[in-house]
Amino acid sequence: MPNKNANILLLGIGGVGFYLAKRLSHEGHAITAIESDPDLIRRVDGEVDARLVWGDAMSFSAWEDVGVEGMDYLIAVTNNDAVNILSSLLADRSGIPRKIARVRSLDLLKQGALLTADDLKIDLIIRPEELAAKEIARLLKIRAGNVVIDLADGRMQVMATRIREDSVLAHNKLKDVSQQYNEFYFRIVSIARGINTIIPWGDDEILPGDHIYVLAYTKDMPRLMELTGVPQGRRHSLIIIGGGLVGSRVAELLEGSFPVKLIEQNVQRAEELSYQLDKTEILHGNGSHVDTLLKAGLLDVDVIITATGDNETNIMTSVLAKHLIQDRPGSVQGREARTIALVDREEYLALAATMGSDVVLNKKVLAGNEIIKYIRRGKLLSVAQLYGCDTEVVELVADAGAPITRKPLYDVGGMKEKIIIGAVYRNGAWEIAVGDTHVQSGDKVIGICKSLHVRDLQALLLS
Amino acid sequence: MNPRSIAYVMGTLLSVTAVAMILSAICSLCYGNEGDLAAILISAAISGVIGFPIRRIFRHDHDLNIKDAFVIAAFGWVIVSAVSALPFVIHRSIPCFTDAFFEMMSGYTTSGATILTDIEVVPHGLLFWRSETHLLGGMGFLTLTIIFLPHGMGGARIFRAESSPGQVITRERFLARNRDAIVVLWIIYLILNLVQIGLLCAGGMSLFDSLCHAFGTVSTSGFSPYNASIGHYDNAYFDWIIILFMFLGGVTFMLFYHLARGDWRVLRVNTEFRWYVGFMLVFCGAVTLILWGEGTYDFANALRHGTFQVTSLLTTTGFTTQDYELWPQAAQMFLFAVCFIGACAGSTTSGIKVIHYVVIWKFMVAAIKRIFLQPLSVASVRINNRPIDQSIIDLAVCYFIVNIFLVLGGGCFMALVDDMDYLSAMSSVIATLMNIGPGFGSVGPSENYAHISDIGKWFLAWNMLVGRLEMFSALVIFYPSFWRR
Repeated sequence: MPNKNANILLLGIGGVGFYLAKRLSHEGHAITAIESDPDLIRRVDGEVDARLVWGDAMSFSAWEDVGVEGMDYLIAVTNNDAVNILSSLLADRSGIPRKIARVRSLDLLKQGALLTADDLKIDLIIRPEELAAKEIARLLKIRAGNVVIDLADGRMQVMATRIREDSVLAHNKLKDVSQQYNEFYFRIVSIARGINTIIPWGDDEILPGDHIYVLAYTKDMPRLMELTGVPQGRRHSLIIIGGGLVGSRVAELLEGSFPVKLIEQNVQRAEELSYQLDKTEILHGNGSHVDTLLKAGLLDVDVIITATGDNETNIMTSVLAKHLIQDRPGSVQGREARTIALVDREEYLALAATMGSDVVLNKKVLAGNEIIKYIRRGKLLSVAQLYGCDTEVVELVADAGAPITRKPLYDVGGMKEKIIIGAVYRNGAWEIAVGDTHVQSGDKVIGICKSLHVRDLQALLLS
Repeated sequence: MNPRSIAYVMGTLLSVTAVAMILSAICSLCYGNEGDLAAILISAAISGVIGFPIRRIFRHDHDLNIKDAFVIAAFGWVIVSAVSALPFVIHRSIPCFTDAFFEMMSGYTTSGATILTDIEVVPHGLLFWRSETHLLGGMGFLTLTIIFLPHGMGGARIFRAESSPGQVITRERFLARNRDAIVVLWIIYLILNLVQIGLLCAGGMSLFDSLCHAFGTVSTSGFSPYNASIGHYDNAYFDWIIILFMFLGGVTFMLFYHLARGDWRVLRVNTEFRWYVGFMLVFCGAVTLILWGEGTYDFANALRHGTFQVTSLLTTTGFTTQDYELWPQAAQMFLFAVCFIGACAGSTTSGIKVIHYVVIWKFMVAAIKRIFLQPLSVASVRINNRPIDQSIIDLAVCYFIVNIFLVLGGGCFMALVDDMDYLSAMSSVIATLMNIGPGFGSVGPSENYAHISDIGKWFLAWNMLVGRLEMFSALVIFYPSFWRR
């Protein structure tokens, strides 16, 4: 392995911490976690290959116990901003070179802030709510409703779409699809079905209800959307349910461009928001009740964002809203509202997508990925997680003598149902990879795999 | 259950066994092939031919869940023992497979119980192989294979399934990655072996004997290439060296790591180490005083033999220098009691660890006080200056009870299937379950296990496995729900 594995000190092993510990230990990093909740330690113990120390993240004796010398990273993701900030300072004093801290407060990044990240010695500030809000805003600004991720400097994109019963792709095997539709290049790189994620192979069949993720050239996207039946509708208005950190931030980011309604259950919070958000219409009520939704004008909106603090409410409300719109008398055929649900439990991610929520965002995963991207810098050119399934898209360069450069792709072992090489950059242009593509050393490659197999993918491409 | 991943680990186990046999083949060559070279090479070939291809075929499968880990822990040892028995069966120095399997299970589980009546006629290559199983088993044979597994939870799960509940008590790992921790443990273990080999050679023991005895000492196992065990030499220097290294083999290996880093504070903080030293002093002192007081030996010899025997039984090693059944009854009683005590958790020893006694004792004191004396009292059980979890107390108590059940139940079983007195029956179970080796009565220091029936041998071999896996991993596979989907 050309890349040295890092020693990482992790403070807090709750949602984000656990996700990070799992992912990072899988990549071979040495993780030491300090957590003050013994129940949490018991739950995580046996799930993660990490040293778990029971103690207070702020106690010097706990830091001495774990031995801070030789640590390469501090990741402070306890649920307390102050602890995370202070521990970065502590880490700086103890000589840990790189510090990552989760800070929910927005103040630190503001222009002319009293205290800046530099003052606090934090190299990367992670703000899960902000990441989620920005992501939602980005998604809504994309022309088409479905998720699109830019790759290869924008030359290629991955589009996610749901297969409906009447879709031309339904009940077809992948190899038949690629034979039948060959006017332009595209490749199905991942399928979310139920709670499973499939890295599809030629013999896999597309079923109605699947969420498929398709890689194609950016210029071909309109044709692809036509093929998969994605309506290229315009986005008029949106309703946000839940005025927490994410909900209010989304409203703030979007209220200039769209008419935004925000439903908040708590009167005081609603009043507070009405001062803060000038252009947003703040409504007070329970967003999971049908009558509240109807009174808020649900039937006329195009996007519903569920961002309450409760996973189940978010999922159920988005499904409910979708059905209300579809079933209303005299609804225009083919017109569908999009829903974006904020879901923090990994188990629910793919499930929520299959149940009918169009986009499912997990702010912990977003935050985790941001951190992993930071740690992986240099190793991988870029990393993106596909929403709603456990799949990663990675760009990296093939080393001379790497296993993948020895044979054409269909002969390279250990890839079946695990890893797809989606595209290769050579001679100044991106090519969609096919079975007889032979990756040469120095080629830039886009690989797609489940997050568990990122390491295998790396092994294929490194000498 | 992931059969493919299990097969991968099993393949790895067999591959490691095959490679390990090469060492014995070299030893056999050094002694000019006393007829055992072919047997060893054939066995190595069989194990390699099965192991390497399986490992290769399933090399992409290493997702293990906790059940897989238990299956591997329970059956891995059986398969490895069966394969390791081949050299003896092929060479016909132990013609019966049951006997050879018993001998190898005893080797890998570091018990040291033998069925060989005349050990000295066995060729050197095979004797070396017999002791080498101690070397491999001392740190846990499966931990060795974990080093060859890829990163991820699989290795950690096997480690958990194989290693002691005692380690759950001192739960904290000293290194972040499981594999690093295992590598460090193996390095410490090998260094201890090397130092002891050096010291024994310096005292004039031949290289072959020092190797075999060091392998048997640090792993606290107890196979010796001589019929009279360490008594063969009757040399005080060797006795004291072996006492020292049996003691060190019984210390939590993590402590060596901290000491090597110059952190002597851990000795003071570590509750278990202090109790371990305390147990040693009390029992060695008592047995020495009895031997001296009754006039069995003069003081120097009473100290030497008393300390040797107590250390040997307490650390579950099972070397002998004297036939302790000829000692006064009081001394025998103390030795019998010592059999129930293992050394520290996270060492090479088996049996009921000192830490279990510490936890049970502190819990008992607090519980009696709360129930009968002061209902309002709140007393937390503290280990290493930290309060421990209720679940750990439950585990320690449960572990103790299971041991007692198995000793009593096993004793009844042995008395039924074999024609032996109750003391021998019970002590054969204690000696195998605690991985000690020699016991009392017809399995005493001057006897061996050859006379026991086949059923008895299989049962005792199973006992050794259960003892080595520290009960729960070996017992959990008997729950019907374990096998249900």
